[in-house]
Amino acid sequence: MDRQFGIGLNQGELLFDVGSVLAGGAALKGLSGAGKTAGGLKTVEHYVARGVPPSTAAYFVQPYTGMGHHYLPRRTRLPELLGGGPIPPAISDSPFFLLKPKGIQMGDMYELHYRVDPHFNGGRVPQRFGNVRGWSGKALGWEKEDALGRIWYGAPDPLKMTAGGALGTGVVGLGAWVDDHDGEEKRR
Amino acid sequence: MKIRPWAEFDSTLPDDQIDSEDEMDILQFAGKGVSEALAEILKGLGCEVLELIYLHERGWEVLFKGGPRGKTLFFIRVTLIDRYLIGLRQARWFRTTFAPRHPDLLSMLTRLAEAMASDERFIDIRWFAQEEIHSGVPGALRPLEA
Repeated sequence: MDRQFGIGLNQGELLFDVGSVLAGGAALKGLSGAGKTAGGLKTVEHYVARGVPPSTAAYFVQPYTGMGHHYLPRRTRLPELLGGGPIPPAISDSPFFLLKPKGIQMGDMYELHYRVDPHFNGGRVPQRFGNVRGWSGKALGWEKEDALGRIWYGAPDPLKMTAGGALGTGVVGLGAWVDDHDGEEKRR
Repeated sequence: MKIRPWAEFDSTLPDDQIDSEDEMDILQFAGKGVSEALAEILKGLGCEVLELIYLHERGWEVLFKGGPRGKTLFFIRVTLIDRYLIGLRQARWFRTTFAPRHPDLLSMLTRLAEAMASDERFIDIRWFAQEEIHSGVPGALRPLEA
């Protein structure tokens, strides 16, 4: 998740901050801070301080190996007009629709996934970590995003950039249109 | 009437989580067996099961068509946490948004709950509303209980 936000700040700080304000991003940004390695990775202590049992925290600091968050849910079906089947993986697994920040850790990805998927409530950890009861997002005090937050935080950066670019183009275009028409008014 | 589309239960079906050889990672999250059992039940209820979808850490989903005319698209999310947790949802966003208490959903919930209650593979089933999940409340015996 840190990487995801870092990319947003580097490539479109204004866009990202506008989205953060709209979607109540302060809470998410507040996740970063103490309990990190020099490389910016979360430590076991970071998660333990947030109420995660040590056995689960040891799993949460591992590199994420899952499939990521599909912005278009995998159950999504094409309209009958287009055949009615699943969305082709070339689209649903593309960087525009698959949220899987590079270098993200299990805990960060699970929390991100918990926030943006209203049907995700928790999961198991591998046996070696000794927690056979799994983890619950609610029990850990994690919060679900509202619809706007799901749209924003569930979107991969390339999609945000494209949408932001389109929005920016629209704003610039609107500005140019207003300028033009203002000019026309002045010329009259 | 409160709608409780989530159910928590134990199962006699084997825990089918597959860990990596060093047990540091999960290669396949549990729930396939329960999903297959639910798919079997749904077929028995006259539904058309379209697909079992693997979702990694989020578990599994059973995508199916049901309802009075057999055209309403539903899915059941299956995740093993402490116990199995499943949720029956309408799959079309406009139904979820504008008709969250659609009669097709209520009917499907009732029929699924009755079928699960009479199936010995599912033990100690309790139904929850979203906000009740893992909150400490005991859950209800039926999804549409007051």
